[in-house]
Amino acid sequence: MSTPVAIVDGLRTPFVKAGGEFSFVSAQELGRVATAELLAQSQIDPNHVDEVIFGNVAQPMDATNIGRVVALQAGLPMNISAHTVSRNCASGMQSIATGVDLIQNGRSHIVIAGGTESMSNIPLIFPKEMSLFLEQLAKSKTFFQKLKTVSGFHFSYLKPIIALVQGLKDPFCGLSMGQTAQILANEFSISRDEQDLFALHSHQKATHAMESGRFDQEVTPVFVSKLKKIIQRDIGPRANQTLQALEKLKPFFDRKHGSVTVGNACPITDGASALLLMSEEKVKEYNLQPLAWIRSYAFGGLDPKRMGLGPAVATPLALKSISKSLSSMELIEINEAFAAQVLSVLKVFKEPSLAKHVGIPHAELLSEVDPSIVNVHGGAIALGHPVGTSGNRIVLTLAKELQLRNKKWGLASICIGGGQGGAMILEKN
Amino acid sequence: MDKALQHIDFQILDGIAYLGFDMKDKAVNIFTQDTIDELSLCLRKVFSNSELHGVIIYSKKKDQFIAGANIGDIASIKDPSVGADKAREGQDLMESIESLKIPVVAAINGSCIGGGLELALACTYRITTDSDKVRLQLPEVQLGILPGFGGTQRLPKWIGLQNALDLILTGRPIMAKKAYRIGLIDDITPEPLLLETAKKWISVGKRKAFPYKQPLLLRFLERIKPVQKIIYHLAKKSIIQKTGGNYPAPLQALDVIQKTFRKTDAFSYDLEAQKLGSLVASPICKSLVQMFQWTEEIKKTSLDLPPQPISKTAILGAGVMGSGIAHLFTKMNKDVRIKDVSLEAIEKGMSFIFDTFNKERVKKKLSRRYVQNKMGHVSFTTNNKGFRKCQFVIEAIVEDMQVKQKVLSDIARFVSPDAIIATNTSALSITEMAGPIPNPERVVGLHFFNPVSRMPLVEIIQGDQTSEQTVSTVYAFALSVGKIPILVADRPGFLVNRILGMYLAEATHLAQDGISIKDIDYTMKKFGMPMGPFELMDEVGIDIASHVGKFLGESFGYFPTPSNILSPLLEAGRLGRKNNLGFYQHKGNHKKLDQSFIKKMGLSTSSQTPDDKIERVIVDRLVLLMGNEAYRCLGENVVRSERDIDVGMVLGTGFAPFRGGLAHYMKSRNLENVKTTLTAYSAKYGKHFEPCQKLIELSYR
Repeated sequence: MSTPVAIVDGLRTPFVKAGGEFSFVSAQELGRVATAELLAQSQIDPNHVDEVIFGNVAQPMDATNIGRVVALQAGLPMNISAHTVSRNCASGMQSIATGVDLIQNGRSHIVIAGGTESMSNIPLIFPKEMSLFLEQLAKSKTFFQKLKTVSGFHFSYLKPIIALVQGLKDPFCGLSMGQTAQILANEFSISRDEQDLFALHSHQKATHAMESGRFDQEVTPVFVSKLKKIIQRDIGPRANQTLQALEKLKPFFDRKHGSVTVGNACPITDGASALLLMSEEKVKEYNLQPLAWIRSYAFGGLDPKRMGLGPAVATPLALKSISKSLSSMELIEINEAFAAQVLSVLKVFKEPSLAKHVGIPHAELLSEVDPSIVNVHGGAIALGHPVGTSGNRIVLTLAKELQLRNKKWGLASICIGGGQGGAMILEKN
Repeated sequence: MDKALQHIDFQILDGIAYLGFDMKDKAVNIFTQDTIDELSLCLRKVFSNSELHGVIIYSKKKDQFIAGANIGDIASIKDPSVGADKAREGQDLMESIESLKIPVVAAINGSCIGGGLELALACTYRITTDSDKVRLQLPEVQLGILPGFGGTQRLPKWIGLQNALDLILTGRPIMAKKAYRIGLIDDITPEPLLLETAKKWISVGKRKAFPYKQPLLLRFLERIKPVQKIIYHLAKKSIIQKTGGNYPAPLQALDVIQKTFRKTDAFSYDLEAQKLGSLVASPICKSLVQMFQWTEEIKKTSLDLPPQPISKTAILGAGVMGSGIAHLFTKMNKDVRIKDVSLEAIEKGMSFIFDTFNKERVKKKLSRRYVQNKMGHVSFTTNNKGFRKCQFVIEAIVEDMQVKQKVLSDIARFVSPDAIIATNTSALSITEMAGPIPNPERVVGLHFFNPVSRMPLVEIIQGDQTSEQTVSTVYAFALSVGKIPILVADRPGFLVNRILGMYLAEATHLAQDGISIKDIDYTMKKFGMPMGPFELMDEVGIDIASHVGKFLGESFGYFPTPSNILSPLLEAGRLGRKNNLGFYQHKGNHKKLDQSFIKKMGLSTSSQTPDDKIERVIVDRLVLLMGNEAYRCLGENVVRSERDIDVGMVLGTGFAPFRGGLAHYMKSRNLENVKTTLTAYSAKYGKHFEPCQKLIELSYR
């Protein structure tokens, strides 16, 4: 990769379990809060921003091109262009990647790259039969025609389709995301105990990050007008989570033989995140101290049935382009869609033979990683996984943590529904 | 273009006469003798030209149709018969428009007010653009008069009795959509198509019937006498309730409509003209017009130095004042960043802002999107991040000099070095506060009144170090957020609270002297204050009232020693409105004097209606004392003119506008007499009544 791109600063909203306090907050509003506050805290004149890019999966019907809606509502001048990107679970990382490309090829100097998702507001939809019925009814002119149409009505037309469930099902292989995680658990012999323990640690680490004030450095509070309440902390991590409670849960995706439960998977969640990206030239001009520099990124594909292994595919691609190896990474974020999936990735990192088995190119760059540098503040199992946001969130958390721990190299990686993985490598000067 | 015409562009094109109002050397079109003469000249030309088949009346000013009569003319009429004649002249002009055999279209592109709307009413058709600058209004009653160019006759005809009463008796403006809904206008068109559309309406020809837009049933009901009676009764009740019967104009307008509805003839026009004549010559009209002219004058004033732009503001403190100010700023398109010590406090403030917008939304039928967009411009924090771009900071925290100094010098490090630093203190010294703040020339007092959204006044207080640049910037800023600023010197209590402090202190002495609280409050409301002094203390908070009283007492030796009425309330924890118990028991918007507690305090609870003599004493002891204090302020150069006293008291305290303000009232009582009364009172009630030097000086003139 050519010139590095600076992450000057970043912010996110609290992550709140879907159906909770953010139920009546739209994805665009979450994105607005993150963007407006990021701008308020930065020295950048909003007129100098070249592009706003937001990742989003569910694409709210009342905010088409949600990136533009977010930009305008956050008070960016109307002449600044904005767009929306989608790469399913990595949409929030795709926005950064697109921003990096724009800056590297000189089209932009300052980019706001974010991700936003309100999984609470993914609608229920009528079946196709219902829309055909309504169409027919509108076409029926005479009373008898109308009567005939109406008599053809069937109550099953009213049964809603839950768009969220549809979205979490792979359209190619027909499996739900949970089922793909179960496949990995079986294939890489990840035990139920290992998964539950991983989930427990995620909660413990995230709770600690909340209580120690670490997350306050990246979270900005949101005023929810409907509730007249300010939400300032993540609602997801459980301080009192016990292993016993996790062990009691029934396997969800394979009730008889499975090991993936709702306890060792990420909850559906609402939240937004935004980063301020800048070219080296502008960093110097404004005389800024960036959190970190983006040195490389990569996306790669694999069998949708094994989508959870995506990070293992994308990571060596990102390493290869800057001739680095996994062993030089000092901090690692792997998005926790499922404990089984992260554990499988770590297993592949450790055993190159497995990597070869699943056909991962450049597997020689991989090596065992110290679990204590992985997801140091927990991950999506505790915080939740707003699909369009998480890819952005892990880069934000990683950048801040490199700064705090004064480490040089960091990796953020994410699995993507549909059989892909994304990875981004940061370097702090 | 005709040489004789200076204000109207008269053209004939394809058989249509175009009358384009474009007043020379004026920003808006108004009715002066010149325009009236020119308009009648144009109409004569139209009348004598048999080839015409239509007339279009439009404006060449942007967003302005015709703004009504010349305020200066209204102010100058002293004789009722002259006023009536003026009205008749206007009526005749409108009549000559209405009686043309060809259709006349009023093509309205913006504010269409007073005589402007009456002109439009005389046209065959009225169409407007879809701009939100379109505003139709008959505001005459707000100036103490009534629509005298046939407005009381034509409006009920077009839109029915109830709608017409609503517009004429309140004087409130309506927008194009509402006007269309009630049948006041016939069409709404995109701005560039206005004249094209007007032409289409001409091709429709003269009207065959009145286009009542109201439901048939209502139209029918309004023709039934007993129903009309009920409508009049309710309208009258509502006027009395709103004005306390102190404003004759709406009552007279109602009377005209009541006597003439559905039987417009020569008599009805004459009645309208006569009533206008007697109203326009009345002192109440003069007071209201004067107040209007003064606020207009202030609105048009800009100080010598060009103001710095302010679009990003910061507010310290999310209490009632802070969030009230935040609501105002964001509503007026400023970015607002709120800081307070805790998110709990901010949560309350944000909820207050949201609630205020939401109430407005429901009342004015605004969209949720509007509220959301406005709320989107308010950010908040508990730390010092994100203030670097703010060009203006105002604090609205606890009234404590040390705390304010500390908070302001803290934030001064985080805003740009030339950002204005303002304090909303209601009494403390600006000069002292500016002391420890770097670049103190940018420190200024900007005193808003509670509730911020409703009180139009701000006092701008210049400390010793405050630069002219700062004052100029803040003055323009106050105007840009829709407030009326007055410049006040840095003396304790500034203008308004100093006078009010005197008023409240004396009210407690009145009560101690055995006059019942009920009588005092009743009398002052009857005088025209929006609430009585004890109601006001409850509203302000007993603790605050007591604190301010003590502060002013310490600052000014001649102030009456605070009576000990407030202490039993404070001891009983009765803080007024904020905890629902003060002199009154508050329940929602209702309140009742707590007679048993008042009795316990040893005060009078007599509840007869006070007789004239007692009323006189109450008014004189309270109002003349306030007036004396106002003149003392003038003498000390706290304010620069009587104008600022009157504007300050009316817009800052709601002092009876129909009395023209405090100084105006004093003069109406004759300063010589006032001096005598005050001197007599000073012997009887205490030295604070001694007439001040300025009053004595002026009384000799």
